[in-house]
Amino acid sequence: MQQKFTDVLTAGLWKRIPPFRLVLGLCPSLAVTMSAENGLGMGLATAFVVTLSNGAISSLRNVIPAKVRIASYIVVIATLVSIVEILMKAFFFPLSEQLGIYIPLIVVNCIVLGRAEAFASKNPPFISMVDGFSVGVGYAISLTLIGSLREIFGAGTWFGHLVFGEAFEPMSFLVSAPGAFMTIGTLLALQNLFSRWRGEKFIQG
Amino acid sequence: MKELKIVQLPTPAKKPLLDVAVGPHYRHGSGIAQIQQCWVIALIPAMLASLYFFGPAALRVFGLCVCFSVGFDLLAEKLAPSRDLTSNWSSIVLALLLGFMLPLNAPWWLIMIGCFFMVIVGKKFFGGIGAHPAHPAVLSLAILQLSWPGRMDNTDALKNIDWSVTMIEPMRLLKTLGASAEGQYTWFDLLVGHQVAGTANGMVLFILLGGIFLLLAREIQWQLPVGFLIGLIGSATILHLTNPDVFATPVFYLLSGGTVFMGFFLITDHTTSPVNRTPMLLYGILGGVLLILIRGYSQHIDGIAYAILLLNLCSPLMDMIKPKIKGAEDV
Repeated sequence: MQQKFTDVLTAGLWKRIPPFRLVLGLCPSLAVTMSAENGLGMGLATAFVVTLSNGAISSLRNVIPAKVRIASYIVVIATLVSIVEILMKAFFFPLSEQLGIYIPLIVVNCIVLGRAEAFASKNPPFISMVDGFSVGVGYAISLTLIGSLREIFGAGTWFGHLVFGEAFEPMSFLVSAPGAFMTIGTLLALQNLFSRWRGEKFIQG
Repeated sequence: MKELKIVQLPTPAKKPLLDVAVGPHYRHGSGIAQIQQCWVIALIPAMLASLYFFGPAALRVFGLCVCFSVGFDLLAEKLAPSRDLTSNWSSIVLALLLGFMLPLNAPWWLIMIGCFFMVIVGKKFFGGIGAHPAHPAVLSLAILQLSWPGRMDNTDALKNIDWSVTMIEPMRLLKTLGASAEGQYTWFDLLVGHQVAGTANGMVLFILLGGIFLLLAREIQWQLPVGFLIGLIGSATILHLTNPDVFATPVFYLLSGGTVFMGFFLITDHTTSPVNRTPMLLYGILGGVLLILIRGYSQHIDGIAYAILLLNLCSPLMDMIKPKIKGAEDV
């Protein structure tokens, strides 16, 4: 039990970290990571949703009929996303304006549905919540990393503060859409290289 | 129990186990390195012309390009060993191709970032030479043009040089003045390289020399440049006849900027061009048409980067045109 708990908790941070290993949730990672702040906000919102939805779905797993399970999951997830959206509008209004449509779109984020289908529907509530938390925190970390890299090199700032001074000429390619693909690809390549050094066995996806 | 006797054949230490040399074979001894050296030789005339016109400034661009490119290649080989060795000269050719297209006053950090995207992102991430889907040098050029449009300004780079010709890029003047811009240039100036372009991609005559050398050395197939010429002249003639106020004559399009450079050195890249003869011709024609369309109807001044990238993505599609296997229908 202890071993499984540790495994599940660390899997989302390296072995299954989205969007690099678990190549899901690419849409927000491409669209909102123009700055580190956006990435962090989006990541935390997704982490909140995936943790609670895993818990709720896991508690209801014996009640939900197998044939209509996806629709039931969507209802649970949509409820949680609505809560997040209203909370963000109330307390973090500028950030919610920045993220715009991508907050409601967490409903169809494949990470949430994927963890519900693959983990929460087969395991008891507590360990499911741990899994959701670990995957969500992994997602928040990677989105913040992608956002930081794009903001530092593409705009010369980090969380709104100047990094390199006034003389730095930012690389505006990185804040445009193709820059997101290139950043994610580069980070993925670095992670694979690191895994190869450590002699880790890994399965893509 | 009797020990098994292992029969050991007397094998000489240096001789390979399988030796198929029976008939009088001719060993060519060629490899990737020899092909790439051939390309370097073909690039030399234009480099010399550029050195003659610009002096040490051109040498600075070429030198920095080659140094950074080979450096990144060595670094990548050390960190992630693969079959794409630095000793195959491919990074040198790519560096020279990038250096040809960069403006003369490109700062060192711009060249460094360009070489990083060319070697690491464009080439190594996809598996090295022979595996990249888009031409790395052109990819890097497109990224640099998107990121620092002010730094990639050829007219600004050559503002201190006076050749007693109009010192504006021909394509830029064509965008603002329409077809009357053609009268500002003489075709002889354009041909010998007295025009505003990158470090060396405007030296039309010398690039043509190098291209003919490549053709004669059988390093590139004639279908690609000939197809390119057909597509370019054909589409430019049609556009010029339909709207002579806006579109210049085909010869102007052919001689200005890096058109000839594109036809001989960029679309003929071995990795990104199709394999068979008919697709090669189609690929060249499509390249010419795309270049004229991008130059005529878009905001980009010299549409080479986007034309090549779009063209490279068509290459797998064109590779589906295969020659018929003789006798296959009988089976």
